[in-house]
Amino acid sequence: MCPPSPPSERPPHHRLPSPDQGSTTTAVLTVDWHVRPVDEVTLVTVRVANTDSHPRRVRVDNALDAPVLPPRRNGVAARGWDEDGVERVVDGHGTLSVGYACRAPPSSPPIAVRDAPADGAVADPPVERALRSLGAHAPPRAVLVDDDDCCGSASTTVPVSTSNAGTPDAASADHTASDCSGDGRTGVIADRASPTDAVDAADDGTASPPLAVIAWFNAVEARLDTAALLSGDVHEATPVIASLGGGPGVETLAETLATEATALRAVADRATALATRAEATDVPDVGGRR
Amino acid sequence: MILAVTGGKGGVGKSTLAYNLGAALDASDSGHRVVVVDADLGMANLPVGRGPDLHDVLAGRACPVEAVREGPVRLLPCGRSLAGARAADLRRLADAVRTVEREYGDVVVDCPAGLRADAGVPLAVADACLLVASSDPFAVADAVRTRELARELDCGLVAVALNRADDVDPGVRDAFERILGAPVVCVPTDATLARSVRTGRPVDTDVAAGPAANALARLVEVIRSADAR
Repeated sequence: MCPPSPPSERPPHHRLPSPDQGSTTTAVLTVDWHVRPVDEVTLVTVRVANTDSHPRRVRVDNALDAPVLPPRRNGVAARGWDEDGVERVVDGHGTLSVGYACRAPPSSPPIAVRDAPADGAVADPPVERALRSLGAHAPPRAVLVDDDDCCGSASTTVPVSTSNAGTPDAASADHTASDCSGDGRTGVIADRASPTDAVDAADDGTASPPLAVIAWFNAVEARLDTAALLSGDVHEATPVIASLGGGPGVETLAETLATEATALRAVADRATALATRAEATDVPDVGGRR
Repeated sequence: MILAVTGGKGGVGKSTLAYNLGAALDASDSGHRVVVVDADLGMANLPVGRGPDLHDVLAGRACPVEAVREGPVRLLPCGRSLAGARAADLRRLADAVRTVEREYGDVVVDCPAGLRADAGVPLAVADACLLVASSDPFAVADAVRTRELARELDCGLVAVALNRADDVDPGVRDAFERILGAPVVCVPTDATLARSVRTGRPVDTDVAAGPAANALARLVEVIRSADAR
């Protein structure tokens, strides 16, 4: 809530008395309002113009005999609104247009306006608004797989959440190839392995590999595509070499693919053995023992 | 100028258009150098190469200017690891993009799909946005949602690019223009354009003079005139 206008400012003065529209002025604001009854509801629109060069904190209070039905987004009252009205900062020489509904008959004036210097306050910066109002972007912790490090990608260090799922800064640590366990799984995966870390079964009974495996395969495929482009003509290969960072990048790509070929063979062998074992395993029905 | 290339839906060609617009804006006579920032933290599309990337910048490990790569299109690429995406602090994006803008002149930000914070923050940082959509009439609802988000974040819509738009019904085009309130440019299907990111060879708007090149030139014209205002 903003404090009332300083005494030095002129009191609000109402003009153009009319059943459905009118104007009010304060020392630095010009306020135009309009009301329209629709069934049992009165729709009120208000336009506030700040004639001063400095921002003003403006409070528009409903004067009708019922609570405000404010504009809503996803069922939640929009920023600055409550059941008595709305409070906003209006920039210097700026305008503010707001509207609301109220389950009460129209009266004149339907609103009361107060304003005060905004003391340098401005509306929330858009970046803060975006971060506060939109969903978190970070991929869930369950999908974190440091496959690049295990398989020798070009990147040097990759931060991986190891301790908690809190802020990125708190959870970041450099994970290197030395963190890989002997069977090729990272410590992160091994720590998290559980009976629920299974393939995703589709509705039709078919199953797709875990996201981490798909991601790895896609990454290898992309590197193979890049390598194939290097085999093309000079025009095609030159920009690819540039994007890899020149000769050293091409060498790293070759080393990465060689390492990945070995890893892929090992995965294929392990997968074949596990698939054979899984097919031959008969899980007993323990439901009857309860 | 910071221009966000956005669109709520994935797979409509945002990255391809951002990449080619970067080249086309750079070739225009503005005197500004242009950097394309791949801000798709979780599913980056533009070439990465070696060296620090946006994940490193947003994790506070690298300066944004040192992460910019010279090439056919000047790029600030994004890492491909999910761990990097998770460690990225979006609050650093505004400073990073503005630093690049100060150093180079213009920035084209390739935004991720969706309506989460990683799609919203680039819009909050940008001066204006280009909305990319398919020419399917059903795409207009998604486009309106994205435009609403941009509006809430004080990011004006400078133009709408209907990508892979061949033989678009004038009524559909007019509907997009009327509903979204911005000029619509139809970018036709073009093999060179589609391959450009993979081959690292953007469409040359000075030489090619095909329908796709003409559409890119038109987009540059609209963006530059909006920037001049």
